[in-house]
Amino acid sequence: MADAPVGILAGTPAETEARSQWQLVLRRFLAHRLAVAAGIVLVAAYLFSYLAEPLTGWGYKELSPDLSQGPSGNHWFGTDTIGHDMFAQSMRGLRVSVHVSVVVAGIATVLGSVLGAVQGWFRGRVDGALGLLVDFLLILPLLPVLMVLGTRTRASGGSSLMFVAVVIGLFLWAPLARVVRGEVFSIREKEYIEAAEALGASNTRIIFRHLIPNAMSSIIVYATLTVATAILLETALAFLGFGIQPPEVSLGSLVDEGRDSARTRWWLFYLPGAVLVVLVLCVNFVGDGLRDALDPRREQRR
Amino acid sequence: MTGLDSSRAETPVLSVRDLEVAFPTPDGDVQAVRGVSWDVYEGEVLAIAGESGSGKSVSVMAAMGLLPATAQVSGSIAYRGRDVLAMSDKDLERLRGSSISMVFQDPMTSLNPVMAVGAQIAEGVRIHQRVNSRTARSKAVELLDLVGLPNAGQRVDSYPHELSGGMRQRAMIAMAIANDPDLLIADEPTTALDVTIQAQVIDVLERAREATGSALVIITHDLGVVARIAHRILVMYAGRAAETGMADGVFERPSHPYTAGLLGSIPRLDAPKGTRLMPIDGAPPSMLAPPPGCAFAPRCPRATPLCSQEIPELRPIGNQQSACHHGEDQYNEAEDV
Amino acid sequence: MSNPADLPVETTPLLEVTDLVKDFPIRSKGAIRRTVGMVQAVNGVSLHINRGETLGLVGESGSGKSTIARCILRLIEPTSGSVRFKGQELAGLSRRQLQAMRRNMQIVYQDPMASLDPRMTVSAIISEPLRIHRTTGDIGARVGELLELVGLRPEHGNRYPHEFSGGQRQRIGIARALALAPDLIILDEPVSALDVSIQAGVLNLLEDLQRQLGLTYLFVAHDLSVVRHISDRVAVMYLGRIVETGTGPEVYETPAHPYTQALLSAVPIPDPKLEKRRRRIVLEGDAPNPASPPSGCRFRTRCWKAELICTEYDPELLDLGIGHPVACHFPTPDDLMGSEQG
Repeated sequence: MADAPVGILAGTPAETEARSQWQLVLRRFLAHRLAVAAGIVLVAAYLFSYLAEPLTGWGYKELSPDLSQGPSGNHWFGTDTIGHDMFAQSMRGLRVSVHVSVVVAGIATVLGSVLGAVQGWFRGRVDGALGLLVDFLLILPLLPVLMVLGTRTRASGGSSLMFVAVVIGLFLWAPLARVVRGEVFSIREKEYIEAAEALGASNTRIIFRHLIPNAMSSIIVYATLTVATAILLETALAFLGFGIQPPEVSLGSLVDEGRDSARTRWWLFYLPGAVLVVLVLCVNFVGDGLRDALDPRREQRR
Repeated sequence: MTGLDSSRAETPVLSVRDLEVAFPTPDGDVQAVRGVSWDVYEGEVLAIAGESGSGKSVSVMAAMGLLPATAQVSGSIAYRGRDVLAMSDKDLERLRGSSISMVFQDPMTSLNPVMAVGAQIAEGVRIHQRVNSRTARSKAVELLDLVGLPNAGQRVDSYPHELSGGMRQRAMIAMAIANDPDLLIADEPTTALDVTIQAQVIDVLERAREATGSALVIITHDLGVVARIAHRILVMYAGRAAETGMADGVFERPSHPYTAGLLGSIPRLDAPKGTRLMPIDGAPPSMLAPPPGCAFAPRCPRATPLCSQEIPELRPIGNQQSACHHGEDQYNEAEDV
Repeated sequence: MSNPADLPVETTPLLEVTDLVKDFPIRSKGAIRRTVGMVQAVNGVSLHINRGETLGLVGESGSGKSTIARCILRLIEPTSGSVRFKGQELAGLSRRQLQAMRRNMQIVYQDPMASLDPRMTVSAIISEPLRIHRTTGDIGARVGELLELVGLRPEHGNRYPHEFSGGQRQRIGIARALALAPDLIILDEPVSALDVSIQAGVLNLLEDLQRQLGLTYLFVAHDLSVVRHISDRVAVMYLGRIVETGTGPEVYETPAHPYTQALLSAVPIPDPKLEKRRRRIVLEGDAPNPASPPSGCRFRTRCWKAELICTEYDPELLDLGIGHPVACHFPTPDDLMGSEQG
């Protein structure tokens, strides 16, 4: 309403302390307590997964003489029927799940941002063709498709973990592309884009130097949420017996193996399950925090 | 003659004293208005001029009770002797729209987009006057005719988006004068309009003022508009009054370096070709932490150490009042030229 | 500002625009977007700019002045007409040829906040044209030079646009336009978004730069006083047409088109005494919708001189003995200011 507050702040000369946009974002993020706590838990848990073996003395492939024991000082999460230390296995699983999901999110984010920006910038036929692909990927029931792919790779003699990650990544970019396309549609109307054109900037330059950086807020938020999706997807695959092959473990494969004994030896199912739930929740909280920090308008609207 | 002149016999329509307005922000309080006083008398046109961030709009918004709830307001605002700041919401509503009414810069945001303009004017009439809907409607047509809307009888049923910018501003003015206000406040009423439309709207404002006999406060950054319409002017800078007085006098012999600077920095249609403009160096101060002394001192060619220590109060110089430690020098220089 | 006398007068103008037309289609809403009409934003405009001079293109909103600026730079594709820069036709140039052409023509926008990428530092913004055109040499030093040239400090380079005031931001925009040392700079309402005290500084800077670097300006604006101040020659636009053109004094002191006269009389002058004495022509109504312009002269619906001929024949932009071209059937030069100046 009144012009004063805006005008006065806008009139603030450069003599005041320089504060970059990212510093402002960081400050707003730090004000979001749940997100900060979740971020700390996430980083701590990941680092701690490397300390599991030196700390407890058990490696994830090692077989201990203790079979089917409940949690104890020696085996924090107990052991399974053949003597695996479940804590070591859970920590290994955590690490694997994180790696897989980061690779997935990385691939999906790069593909989604670039293709989305290309769609939004060129419009017309390019947009139409890519849009068709996006629609196709969005309506495709992901899990069955991945299961089919999983069966094939298993038949061809075991799949590497990263192969699974890459395949999931190739399917998950579509929603982000749609978001970025929408953003680019509004960014392309901004005068600084026309200014870049007037300077003689190439399409590549406009896409990578102007469009994508200005859509970065949405991209970062969406990438974080893709990490969470990827963890769950990998878990679901492993739970159904696809993807990860023994002796490698992931949180999903652990929960899968433990589910039959959920009543008798609860620790085999519930403890890796709890790690999984905490992991996904934390990623989502961080995503929420980033969204609020990167998009203050959204915060005000609430 | 001037805003604070107590020799004037009548009571002002609106009297603002020592108004201070601050907006809390995460970075600290934005001190939008820092002690401003002005009066407006019956039938006169007062222009409050200043650049963006000078606090010119905020001081008027405060008078209308239109500031957001977070704003911290102190000082006094009296409408015919009644304290506006102490009024209940109900009294304030009665005051707004009947005794004091407002014309905004962007009529599109202040007109209801889903209601015909005539219906909006009629509604305003019926809130404050006991008339039936037919009378209210014919009054609306009459008002639209008064503000020069072509085919008022048909336009009365138009929706805001069907009107051009100039016509919308006319409709806003019609609505503002519907209840025969004592005071009309126009906040940058011509800023968004083209020059030829701007001239029309200024004419309409004058006609509306004459028809209702109300006082008019016009807030603007355009000194040309001030020169065309205002009797008196209050120049604001960084939330305070820089200078006030009769418009003729202030334009002829400014007694504040800021006023002189503004006048020197505008290209004029009647200036000899090749006249070099005299810009004011620097930019307005941050209102989070305004400078301790005169807020204009960092940009002022006349500044002395005193200026950055002591805030100059408004004091009479010639026929005007100036808030400048060196106001006399400025005033006399204008005479020499 | 004007062409210094010792320079040889070039025969070809730096920029020559002939019969420029730009129609924007109006599409229907819905799944099948048919073209239901045309808005004639620019309707047969010819103009030229000589090296070293400033042409002011003035008009109200919807007059088509910004569209012309963008057509010259081929930021939007003209419907028809020719744009010649240094004698070379720009219509039909390939994207690559156009890119090379853009070294020599730059644009400064109205809203510096909107035209500077908020995610880039000032150095990155100013060096972008240098990088695009693969300029050799020390880019960092050149950026520092440019910042100083527009009155900013070189150490401001690593800040972001939002940390600057409006006037400083506009200076950044000017520095970017200067980076490739272009011949022509198109200034699209460069001071309209600025407070008056800041405006003057930017206008002075533009004048100084023109003198120092021998720049040629196309100055597009709605503010007649600003255009008068900075321009050597002026073209007044109304609804996609130039209605009057000539040197500054010709247009401002002896305006002959009724629209120019009305426009000039509508500009308030910051002098209350003069304002009270001035003769004023207040036009009736609004400018017509450019999608359905009136027949004949486009100004006739608001003109007090309009007669039958005006509805039938569109007046051409010709000098009918006035001393400069006017597109009116009944041009009469009128000194609006002189008599009252005393």
